Amino acid sequence: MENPLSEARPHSQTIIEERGKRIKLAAEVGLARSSSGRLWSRALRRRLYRKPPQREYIVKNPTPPLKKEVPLVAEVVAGVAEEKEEIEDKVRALQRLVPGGEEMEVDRLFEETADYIEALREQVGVMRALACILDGMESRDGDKL
Amino acid sequence: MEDEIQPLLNPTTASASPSVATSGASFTALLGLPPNRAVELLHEPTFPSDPALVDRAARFSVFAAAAAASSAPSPEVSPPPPPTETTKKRKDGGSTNGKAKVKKGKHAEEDTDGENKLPYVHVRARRGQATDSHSLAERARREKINARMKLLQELVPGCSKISGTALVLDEIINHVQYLQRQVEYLSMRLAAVNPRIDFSGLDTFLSATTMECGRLTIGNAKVGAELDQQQQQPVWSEVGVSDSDQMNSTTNSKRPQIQLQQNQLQQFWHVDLLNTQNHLQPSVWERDTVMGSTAPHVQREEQHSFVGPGAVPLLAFDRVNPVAPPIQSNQQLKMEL
Repeated sequence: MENPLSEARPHSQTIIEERGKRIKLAAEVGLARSSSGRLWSRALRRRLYRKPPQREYIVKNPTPPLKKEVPLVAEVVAGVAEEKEEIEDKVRALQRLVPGGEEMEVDRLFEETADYIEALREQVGVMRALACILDGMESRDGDKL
Repeated sequence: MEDEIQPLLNPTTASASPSVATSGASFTALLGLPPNRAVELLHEPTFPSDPALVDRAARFSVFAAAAAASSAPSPEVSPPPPPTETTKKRKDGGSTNGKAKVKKGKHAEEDTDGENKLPYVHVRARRGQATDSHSLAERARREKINARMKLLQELVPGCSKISGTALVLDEIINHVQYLQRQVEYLSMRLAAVNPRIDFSGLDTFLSATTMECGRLTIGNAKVGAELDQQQQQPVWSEVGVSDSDQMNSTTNSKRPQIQLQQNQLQQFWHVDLLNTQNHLQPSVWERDTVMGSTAPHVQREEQHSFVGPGAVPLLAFDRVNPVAPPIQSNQQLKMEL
C-alpha cells in the first residue's frame, strides 16, 4: 500500500503521515463511539472496521441516492424549477458528506447532520486541546531529553 | 338556537353543572360555560372545538339527532373523528363570507360523516387545500423537513440570517466540510508532535474524551477497552505500519483504563504541566487491570504535581514488560504510535 512517491520523501515525513493517518482513524473511531445510537455513527463504524477495498470483490453498484426523496424536498422548499435542481444537488452533496447519508431519507438526513455536526465539534475540541497540551509538554522538555 | 335549547332546558336543569355560578343566560347554564365562550358559540352554528364541549354537544345538540344512524348517544358520532380539522373547515364554511367556502364546509361535513372511525389527523387544512389523507401526510412531512432545516440553521453559525434554502444548504455543507478538514488537520498536527510519550493509547483517549465531552460517562471502561482491542486489531494491521512488530506488541498488550470523569477532564486542561521526565516510572503510570478508582492515581499524580488524572490514558504502558526502566521505555516508545 506504500505510495511509490513516498520513497522520495525523507523518512521522517512518511512516519508523520503514517502516524497522522492513524490518529485520524483513532479520531474517527472516537467520533463513531461517541454517539452509538445514530445512523451516521453506525455507518461510520461499518466503514472503519470493514476490510480494505483492495481485498473486496468488485464492488456492487452502491445504492444510488434516493431519487424519489430529493425531488420531493426540492419541491417542498422551492417552487422554481432551476432552484429545485440546485437544491437537489446540494442535498445529494450533503448525503455524501454525512456517513451513511446516501441511504437516508431527507428529513432523517437533516436530523443526522445536526447530530453529526455536534459530534464533529466535540471531536475537534478534544483534538485541539490535546494538541495544545502536547505542544506545551514538548516545548518544556525539548532540551531535557 | 334558543328554540332548540328551550326543550332541553327542563330535563337538564337538574343536571346542570353545579359549577355554574352565574344566573345568566340559560344557554350558559346548560353548557356550564363562562359567558364569553357561550357568546362565541352562539355566533357559530358549528361544533365547539373543545372536546369536552363537543361531548356534551353531542349528547344534547340537534346534530346528534340528525346523525342518528348510530342512535346510541355515543360521542363518537357527532364529534367527528378529525375534530380539529373538520372544525376548522366548518368555521370557514360556516362563515358567511362566500359561497365557495360554504360549499366546502358542507362537503367536509359529508366526508366526515362517512369516515366516522378514522384516526385523527392533526393537520390544519388551509383554505383551498386538498384534504385527502395522502396530501395531508405529505404536508406533515414537509413541515417536518422544514422544522429540521430550521434546527440545522440554528446549529450552523451565521446561518439563521440567510434566507433561501439553497444558500442555507450551502452553508451547512461548508460547515460540515470545514469540520472534517479540521479533524484532518489536527490529526496531522498531533502526528507532528515529537513524541516522548507513547501514543498508542491515543485512540482510546480520543474515543473516551469525545464520549465524555458529549454523551456518556465511562464508568467501567475496561469493557470498552477490551472491545476496543478486538475491534482495533483489523484497523491497525491494515494501515501500512513500518515498524509493525514493535507497534503491534505495544498496542496489543496495552490495557487502557480510561477513568475520566467529566470534572477530571476539566481539571486536566487547567493543571499546569510540569516536567514529565521524572515521572515516567512504571510504578506510577502503570494502570491496574483491576478497575480501581482513580483516587490512587490522582494522589500519586498530585504528589508529583503533574497533570491531573487525564494524563494517565495518554501513557499506555506495555504490560508485557512492566518493570522496564523509564529510559528504556522511552526509547522504545519514542517514534512509535
